[in-house]
Amino acid sequence: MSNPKQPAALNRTFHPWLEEGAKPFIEFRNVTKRYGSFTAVDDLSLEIFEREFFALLGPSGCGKTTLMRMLAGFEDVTEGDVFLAGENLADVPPYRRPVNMMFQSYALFPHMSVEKNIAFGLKQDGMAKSEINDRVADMLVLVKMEQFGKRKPDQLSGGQKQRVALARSLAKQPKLLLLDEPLGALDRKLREETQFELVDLQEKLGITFMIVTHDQEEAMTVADRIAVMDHGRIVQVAPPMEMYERPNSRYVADFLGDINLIASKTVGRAKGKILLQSDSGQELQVTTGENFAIDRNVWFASRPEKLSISRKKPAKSINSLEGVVWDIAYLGGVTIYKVKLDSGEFVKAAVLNSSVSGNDIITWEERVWISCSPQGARILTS
Amino acid sequence: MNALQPIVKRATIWLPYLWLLIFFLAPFVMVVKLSVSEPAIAQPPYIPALDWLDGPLGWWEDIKKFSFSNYTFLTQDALYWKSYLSSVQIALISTVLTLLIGYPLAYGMASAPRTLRPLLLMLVILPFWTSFLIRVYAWIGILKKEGLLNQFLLWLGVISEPLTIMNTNWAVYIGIVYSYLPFMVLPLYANLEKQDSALLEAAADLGCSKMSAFWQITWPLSRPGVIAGCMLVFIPAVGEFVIPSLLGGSSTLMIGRVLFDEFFQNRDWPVSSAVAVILLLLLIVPIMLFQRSEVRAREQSA
Amino acid sequence: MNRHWSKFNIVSVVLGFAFLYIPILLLIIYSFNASKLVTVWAGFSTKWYTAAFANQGLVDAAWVTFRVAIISATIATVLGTLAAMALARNTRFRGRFLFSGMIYAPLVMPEVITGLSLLLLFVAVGMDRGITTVTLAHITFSMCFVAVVVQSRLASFDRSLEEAALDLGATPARAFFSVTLPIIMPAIVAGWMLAFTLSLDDLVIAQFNSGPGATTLPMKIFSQVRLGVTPEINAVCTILVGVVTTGVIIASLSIKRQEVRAARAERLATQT
Repeated sequence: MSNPKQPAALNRTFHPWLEEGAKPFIEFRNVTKRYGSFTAVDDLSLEIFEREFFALLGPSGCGKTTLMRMLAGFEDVTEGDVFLAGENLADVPPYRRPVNMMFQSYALFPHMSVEKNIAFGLKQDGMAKSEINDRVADMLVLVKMEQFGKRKPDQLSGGQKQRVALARSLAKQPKLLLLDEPLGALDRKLREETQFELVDLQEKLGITFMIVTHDQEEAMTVADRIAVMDHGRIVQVAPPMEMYERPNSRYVADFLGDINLIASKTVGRAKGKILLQSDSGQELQVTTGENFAIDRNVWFASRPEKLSISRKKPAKSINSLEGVVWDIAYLGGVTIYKVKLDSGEFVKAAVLNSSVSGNDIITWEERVWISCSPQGARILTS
Repeated sequence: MNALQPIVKRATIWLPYLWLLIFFLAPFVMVVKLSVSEPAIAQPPYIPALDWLDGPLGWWEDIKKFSFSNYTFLTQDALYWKSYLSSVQIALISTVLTLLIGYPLAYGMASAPRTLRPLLLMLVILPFWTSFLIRVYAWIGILKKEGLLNQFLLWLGVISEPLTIMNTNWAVYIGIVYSYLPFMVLPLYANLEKQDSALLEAAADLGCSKMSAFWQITWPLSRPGVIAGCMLVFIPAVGEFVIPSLLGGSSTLMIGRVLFDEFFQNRDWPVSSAVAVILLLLLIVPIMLFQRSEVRAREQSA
Repeated sequence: MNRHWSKFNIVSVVLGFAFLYIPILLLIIYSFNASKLVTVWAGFSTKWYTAAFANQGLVDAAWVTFRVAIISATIATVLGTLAAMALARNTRFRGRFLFSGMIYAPLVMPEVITGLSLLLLFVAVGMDRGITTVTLAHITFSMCFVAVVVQSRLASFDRSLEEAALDLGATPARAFFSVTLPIIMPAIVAGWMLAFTLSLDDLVIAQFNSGPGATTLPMKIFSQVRLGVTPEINAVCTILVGVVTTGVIIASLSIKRQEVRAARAERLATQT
């Protein structure tokens, strides 16, 4: 907590999903889940690997929780199969699955002390009493709750409850831990700290973690890979950096962070670049290895931090657009400029405040140039 | 703030408070007072033990003359303590039976589809609105020797000659269970319906089978509902009068009936008051338990 | 709770309701029995209804019962609502414990005790037993039921609505009548209905506290029932059940609608 490490994705060389022939630990094979006429999960296939920290990200109602509850055994699969370590889970009741879940509401048993809560799962397995006591003590140390073992859940703060719930779901040393919006009830500061703790814990224990969240920052902080879901389908699966830098659709680009989109048309190719013309007639360029058919409707997409803003027209006038500062949001670390382009579109540019100095800062209603290098932009087709 | 406010506020408390003091608490003082009076052949049929007009000094004189003969009488005649005992026994058995029937019903209602629950709740409450007396009376036609239950069972061939249920303790159990079932089901349902289904999922997730999850999670958490339900059945059942007098037999001893007969047939007001005082003392602990659990439940929901 | 509705659950619900409803249904069916023998079916007939209406004693008793029920329910509702406000709004006042004890105890108090004790009070102050004493007795025990019903509604009432009214310049009295009262109205109506049916049903307390000329319907029914089951009483009971059931169903449907509307209004009002 005091020494937050780098997010998992950056400090590991762990890419089982890239390895040829690697056996998935969890496999959803053409899974569909319907409630009456409503399709919550739609013909979905997904592979998750051992020791992976996997995040399911999406807005509420996108099917991510349903997907997780199928793994835990609380929802039947309408069509398709779910495999865990090669075993089809179809007929395995929840209480026989080597999977534990941390509930969004924590679901701590209110009539049992913290210790009893943590011991609950162990007791069901008929573990010896002394062994249970040892394990409970270990778990309390693990989540730094040693002094609270005798308390009842309603005598704990939100953060403490969260720790107990985590300890309880880890006590049985499951092969897979499911976390359903585990930090949703915590305030921002505590949530951020806890995210790093979760990552540490997962590395230490070597258990596969699957987290459901609607918070993109949370997903990016903790996960090795993220799956973005929409309407019961997976839109993209990728590690956080790839997902952010190379989103495959406007939906993903918009869900993870902020994006400026300019509707355009492909008009030509040149030296690893694609030439575009925006609907308002502006010429644009994007560096890309991909190939696009000419005369196709696409979007020129660029993150706000890849845009620069200046009073004078930049020397290299590629991808430079003129407009008026419409609104300014000073956020401390960065300032966001909302600029109304002469074509009528709005774009946002994020400027690091380390570069802002003195009194001469761009202010409301100034005419400015917004520009973006061809490497800082992408073409999105859907 | 309005200057009238404190006065109005106080009136909202004092009006019902005063009413209950006069019409609920004061009458109990009367009962206690009468229980130490001597019976008389008069109208009303007793000699007042305490005359309020005597003034404080006179009261002391009156108190010294208090007669506990009514209470000694209660201990001498086996009828009374046997009736108390048998009332408590009948009420206990009936309460357990009501719980055994009411719990699965409440549990079933609480697990019903959400849209169906208001209807089920309404169906439990509805009999409660229809007259208690009528509901007890309806059983006479069923339980009689030539009644509908015996006709049905004979027709089925389960029995070869009619069962004698009417005018036995069994008829009283049935009557109490039937009449008080909604009182058991309502607090249980309220409790079970509120329970978080995630708790049962968490138990299943931690390796607990459904049966075992019920005993480890649902049952202990439903304890406040069980207590409230049992109290709502047990306390009034101990003093029940209508059910034993309509369905019970001559051997069914229940103290409510004894009190009623003592009052209306023997016209012995002091003895019936003494019976009431003892009954009240018997029930004071369960009543206070009930009050405490109600107040706590309400304060929690607030 | 949101669980799987298992076969066991369905069976227990069905059996439970069968147990609750079959006796009453049988009673209703046999009130249309042509035979005087209550348990032998001899064809459909409404003659017992005609007989019941022709029985002057029954009709008089019904009228007494009805008057007592209307008056006692109305006064009990006022007192019970005040008591509920006192309990819900004033968490600390002198004698609160005694007060709440006097509210909850009558809910479970054996009727013979309540009946006897009230009678002794009336005798001690020299009141003649009759309609007045029965009414007073009914007010006393039914106000406690009203208090409990209204209190549970007040417990979930969002006080900031009242505060908003005060903030917008309403006097406390005005805030109560224009904001609080309309919102807790369904509970008050339910309380009134409960008080009304409690009074309609009561036998034991009325037996103790009524005098000549104030025989209520339950007293009348009871005295006849003790002599045995008669189809005429079945008919009277059926009418009573029918009246109360229709009343309750209509009222609860309209309360439901009102509640839904009130809940929606409250939600809108408290949205931030």
